[in-house]
Order: sequence, then C-alpha cells, then structure tokens
Amino acid sequence: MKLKPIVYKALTAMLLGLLVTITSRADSLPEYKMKAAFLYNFVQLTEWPKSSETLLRICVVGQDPIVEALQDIEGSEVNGRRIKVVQLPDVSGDSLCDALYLSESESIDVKGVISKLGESPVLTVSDNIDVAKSGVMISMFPMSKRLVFNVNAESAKRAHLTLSSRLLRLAKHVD
Amino acid sequence: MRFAVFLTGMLMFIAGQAVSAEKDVATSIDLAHTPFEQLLDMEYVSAAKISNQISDANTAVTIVTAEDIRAYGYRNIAEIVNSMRGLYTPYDRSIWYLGGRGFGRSGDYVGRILLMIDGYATNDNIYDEAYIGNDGLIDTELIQRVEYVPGSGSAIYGNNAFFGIINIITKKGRDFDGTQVSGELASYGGKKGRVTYGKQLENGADLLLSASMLKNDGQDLFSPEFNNAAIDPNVAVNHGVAKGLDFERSPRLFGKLQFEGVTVEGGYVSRRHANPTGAYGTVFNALTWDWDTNGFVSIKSDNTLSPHLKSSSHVYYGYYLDRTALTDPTLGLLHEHNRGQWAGADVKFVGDWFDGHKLVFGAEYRNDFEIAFSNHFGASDYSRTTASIYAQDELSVTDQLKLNVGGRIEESTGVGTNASPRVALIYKPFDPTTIKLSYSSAFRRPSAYEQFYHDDTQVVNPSLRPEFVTSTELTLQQQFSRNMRLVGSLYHYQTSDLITSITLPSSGLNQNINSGSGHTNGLELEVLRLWDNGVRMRGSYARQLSIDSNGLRMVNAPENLGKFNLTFPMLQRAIRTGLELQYTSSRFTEARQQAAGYTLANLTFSSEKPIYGLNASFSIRNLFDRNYVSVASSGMVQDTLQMDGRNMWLQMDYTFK
Repeated sequence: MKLKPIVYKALTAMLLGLLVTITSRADSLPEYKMKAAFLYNFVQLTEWPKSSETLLRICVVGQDPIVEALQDIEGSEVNGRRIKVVQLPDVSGDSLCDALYLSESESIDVKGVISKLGESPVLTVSDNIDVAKSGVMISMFPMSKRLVFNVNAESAKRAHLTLSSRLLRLAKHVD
Repeated sequence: MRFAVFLTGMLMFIAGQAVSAEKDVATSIDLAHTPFEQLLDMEYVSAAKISNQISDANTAVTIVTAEDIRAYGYRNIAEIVNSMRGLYTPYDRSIWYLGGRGFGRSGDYVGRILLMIDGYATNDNIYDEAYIGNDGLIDTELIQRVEYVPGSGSAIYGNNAFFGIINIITKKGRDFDGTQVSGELASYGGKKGRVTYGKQLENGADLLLSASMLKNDGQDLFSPEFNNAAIDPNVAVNHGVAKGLDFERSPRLFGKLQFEGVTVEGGYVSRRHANPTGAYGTVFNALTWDWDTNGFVSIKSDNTLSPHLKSSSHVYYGYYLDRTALTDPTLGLLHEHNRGQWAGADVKFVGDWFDGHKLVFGAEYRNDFEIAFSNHFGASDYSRTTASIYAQDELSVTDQLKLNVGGRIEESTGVGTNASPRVALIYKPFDPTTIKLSYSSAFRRPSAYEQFYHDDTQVVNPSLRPEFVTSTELTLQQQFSRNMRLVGSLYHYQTSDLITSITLPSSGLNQNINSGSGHTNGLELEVLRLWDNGVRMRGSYARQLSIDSNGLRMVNAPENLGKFNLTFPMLQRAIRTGLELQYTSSRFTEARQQAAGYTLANLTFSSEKPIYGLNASFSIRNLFDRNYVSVASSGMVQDTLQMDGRNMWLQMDYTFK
C-alpha cells in the first residue's frame, strides 16, 4: 500500500493542529514530590498519644527516592514538633520512629513489620497497594494519574493513633 | 521519495521533542503549603523505575508493561512478544507462531511455551497450543504486563513450560474506574469495538468486565506458486490469487472479580480466520477456515495460614473447540469438530519457617475429561488425568550466595511418570550485580493431536513418548539504578526425542514419531533505560545457532535478532511517540533456501492524557513498506509467505466516569 500525499498532508496538519490546541494544561508533579507531600499531610492530620517529644521522626526503609523529596519538609514544624527524616538500613530497628514509610521499591516483609510494631504508636504508610491488606494504616496508590489513598482506621486505633476526620473524609476507602 | 522526505522531517521533529522533554515537569510548587484537597486533584508524573518481576525465575525476565503496549500500539500477544529479546513470531496468513532459542520450527504450534493469564495455563488440550494472535483470550488493553521467562519452567509449572513461560497479568477494575468505549479502524478493512467496565466498589471488591468484537476483511492474496497450471487446475480462473479468503472475526469476553484475597476470573474467545494459502492439500482459492474457540473459568484464593506459611489454591475449568472447515479436492467442503474440556485444582504453599530457607511446594491434579476428534474420516474420544507434585527450596548459603533446588514429578495417563529437576546458583557479589547459573531438565508429553489425530493423511501413534530438553544458562544482570538495567545471557539447550512428523514409506501417510534431536547455543544482550521525563528505551540483540538432528541449521531459526524500542512524550507531553525497529536475519526454509533478512520499523503516536475524555492512538506498521516473508511450514506448497506492507491502525476510546 502506498501512502497518498493527501494522507501525510493530513497527518502533518493533525500534528500541527494538536500543537496549537494543547497549550494550556495542568502542571504535573514528579511522583516522589507528590508522595512526600502526601506523607507531610498524613503526619499533620494524625494525633500521637501524649507525646512530650520535640521531634517527629519519619523513617524510610532503604534507598527509596522519597528520602530526597522529603528534604523539602525536613525541619518544618507539625503541631509543635519538628520533622526529622531518618533513613533506616532495614526494618529490624526498634520503634523510635513516629511514622514509618514502607516503600514499594524495597522488598519488605510488611506483615512481619506490622506484627513486630504491635501496639506501639507508629503511623505506617506505604505506596504499595498490594500490601494494603497486611495492616498498613495508610496506603497510597495511583488512580487516573492522581494519587489517592486508603485508610485502615482499625490498625491506627490499635496503635493508639487518632486520625483526623478530615483525613478519613479525603480517603478513597476506610476500613 | 516525498514520503521519505516527510518521514525524515518528522523523525527529526520527534527527536527534537525528545530532547526538550526534560524541562517539562513542574517542580517549583511549595507542596508544604498546598492544601491537601488540592494535592488530591493534581496530576503527577510517575518516576521511571523498572518493575519488579512477579514470575519465579532463574533466568532474566523480560517485561512489557501496559504503558509499552499503548506506546507501541500492540494489538495482540504476538506483537508484544515479538518486541522481546530473542523472540520472533512468524505468521502463516491465518495462525501466529512463536520462535526463539531453538524452538519454533516452521508449522510448530506454540506448544513448547506455556502461556498463562493470571496463573491460569491457557494451552488447550488438543494441540497443547498457546494462542497469541486474535485467537488469544485477552484484549491487549486489559493487560497490565507481560513477562517472558526464558528457559524451562517445567520444574514448577509442568508440561508446556518446555522452553519458557509467558505470564500475562491483567489490569484491575480500578485501572479503568468507569466505563470505557473504544473503536478501531485498520488497513484491509479492520474494525474493532470494545466496551470495558471497571470499578473498585465501596466494600473494597474490584470488578472488571469487558466485551469486544473484531472484524477484518483482509486482502486478496497472491501466491505465485499457485499461478501454475501444473499445481492449480483452476489457475485460469484465479491466476494465483485467493480472493476474499483473508477474512477474520473474533468476539471476546473477559471478567474478573477480586475480593478479600479471592479472584474469580473468566474469559472467552471464538476466532475464525479464512486460510488463503491452499495449505495441507486443500483446494486453493476455495473456502477454508481455522475456527478456534477457547474459554475458561478460574477461582483463586490466597491465604496466610501462619506468619511463616502462605498458601494459594486454584481451581479451574477450560474449554476448547476447533471447527476447521476445508475444501478437499475430491470430497468438497469438509468440517472438523475437535473438542476438549478439562478441570483441575492446585494448591501451592510458601513457607519460611527456617532461617535462610524459602520453601515452595504444592500439588496439582488435572482431568482432561474430554479430548474428542471428529472429522469426515471418523470420530474418537480420549481422556487423560495428570497428577503432579513439586517442591523447591531457596537456600541462602551466605548473604551473597543463594542455592535454588527444585523439581516437579508428573504422572499422566498413557505417558507414565516424568520428572523435571532444576538447580540454580544465584550470586550477588555486590548490590547491583546478579549472576545466575542454572541447569534444568524438562519434558513435554505429546499433544493429543500429535498422538491420536487421524484423517486421510495422518495416522495415530499411541506409543508416542515425551520429548526432552536440558538447558544450561549463565545470566548476568547489572542493575545500575532504579531505571537502568543490563542483562547478558549465554545458554545451551539440548533436545532429544523431539516429536516429528514423518511420511510412512509403506502407506504414504504421515505419522508423528520421536526422532528429532538438536541443540542450540545462544547469546543474548538487553539494555533497558528509563528517564524521569518519560523517555523509555529498550534494546536487545540475540544470536542463536540451532542445529537439527541431521546436523543442519534448523529451519526457520534466524541467527541474529535485534530489537530496539524508543518512546518519549512530545508536544508538551500531549502526545507520546513509540518507535520500534526489529531486525531478523536470514533463515532456512523447508526447501533449504535462505529467506532474506529484513528490518521493520513501526511508528505509533498516542495521546498521553484524555482530551475532553477522549484518548487516541495511531500506528503505522512496516513504516518503510519493506518486502518481507515468513517461512512456510512443510504442509504448504509455498516455501515462503509474503507478509503485509505498510499498514495503519487508529484507535479511539472514551471513558465515562
């Protein structure tokens, strides 16, 4: 089949047409900046049991790129506590963390981590929807090019954490 | 000529767009002070990362994702796997075949590779064939990813995983989040419509339902071999042209419901394609069609029994019907009716009770309760039961060294007991480098067709035995970062007792016997690189040397295969371009001629995000209109078959929320 000149003229016109029509569009954010911003909002909307600590430790396991994105919020104050980002080599460490981020890119035995944490007040967050059923309190996942999240209020309650009603309202799904 | 100028211009424009894609991502927003509600409404760009494989493998897996399927406009499994390292997909103008690593003799159905959809083995029980064209069970738009595991997977997966496994993972309902309506137009009178509904329900259940219908008018195809009075008595009428015998229609249904670790899934396809080649002694330019219907229902349940023990149970039912019609020179139009039904159950456990050990073990029982042949020359009925057990231990010798030992024992009616052992060493000297050395031995039992089919040209062979392969492979995987990976592989395959069709001297009839053997040595290299600005590149080179039982180079086995895929967003991320180059070197035909090598280019433009809810995709296949052929099988008059010239495809879809 030979391509007729009219066909490729039409094709060029189509491409140029698209060039003109699609000039204004919503700005898009890089994935890890978005996830870091979500994490920041999660800790803002969570209440820890009578903490006298001045630091709010957000721990990240492994080499996840979110660590770099979290630098933007390191040091900022949340409900009177200063955020500190801690990078853990593995999850064997004790629960000095206030929030624990279990990333998709690291192969972590999430269930094991959750059961080890028991009732200690650690907010667990993951971006791996496949582990949502293992008791992670907040799991983020993509939907229609946007980031959304599910909340497991049961797990949060067991860990004596109070999630604000705003957080629950914004969640896609609450267990 | 003008086309060439236009094309050069376009490619340069595209290249410019790729370079400028970098500075396109907004980074300056102060996220800490953006209200959460607003964040939830903002789109984001996924960071480039190589996905983790889910297949159990001791070799290097190749993955094609939903994003690739869209970027390169893949319309069936054959087009997807044809982009993978070391694989190629010949077409006989009705059925797609698959070759690579010393398998894929011309005319061999895709029976030495196991094709799975979400863990269900799709190969039928008449031909043991995996359907990869429009006869395949699934629309490519429903695929989340396709993984190809080279090397025998029989140690875990059993019978058909002789040379490798293709694992298809389907999308979830929430990936659609609404009702999607899609329409397609293609060259040669191709049309397709599809409606898909997908949703994650309030109670957490995920539902996906889809129906599609494909129709192709096809072309009037010319076979020079039949433009000859000595071969075709009707040559004066048709002049070697098969008129209106390239039509195709294929309706499909698919559904999946997932809730609390249980997945219920089912699929159906019924594809009819006329055969324009006058193959297997049928009358040229007279009605002949292949009509394959496949269906299945599968229920899977994943459970955690204790902190150290997980299980996965699976029950399934499968159905296959072959309604071939053909025009015989003396008997006229004949119909065949070959039907198979099967049901089975398997249960698999993964346990990590002991430090440094990961145990996988399980058992499968399958009953092929119907294997029925019926044609003009008679009817026959068979059944077969298969019971298997398998086990594997991954033992951590040191932090850097793992030993993987496993095997599967299978007992099957009429074939006896066979074992497929496998052993592998996995060494990680430093973090980004993995070296794997694996050895496996596998068998494939004869298909019911090879053993029991009979008509006026073929007789049965009840004493047909399985064929065997041993494979040794050394793989090097270098993961430079989350978005760049290099894979190198050296392998040696030795096959024996290969099931081969011969002509009996006494009667002139064909019969399948265990006679062939062969070996293949090969080298493969693959590089995968992703950039955060949305550019993705994958390139591979494969060299294979396949020798058959006569010490000759295997028919239809190109020595060199090259693949190159590049995709990038352009026009301020509104459009994505996918450019694909595929090189196939010369290979031997049945007449031991050399079919010329060729390079094909495919170009696809697709919208990156919907415009008023509408998405579009446009592909040009065989961009430079290259003349190329597929090697014909031994049952054909032709030695090679002409493939399609430049052709186009347009798809549009709209999603109702």
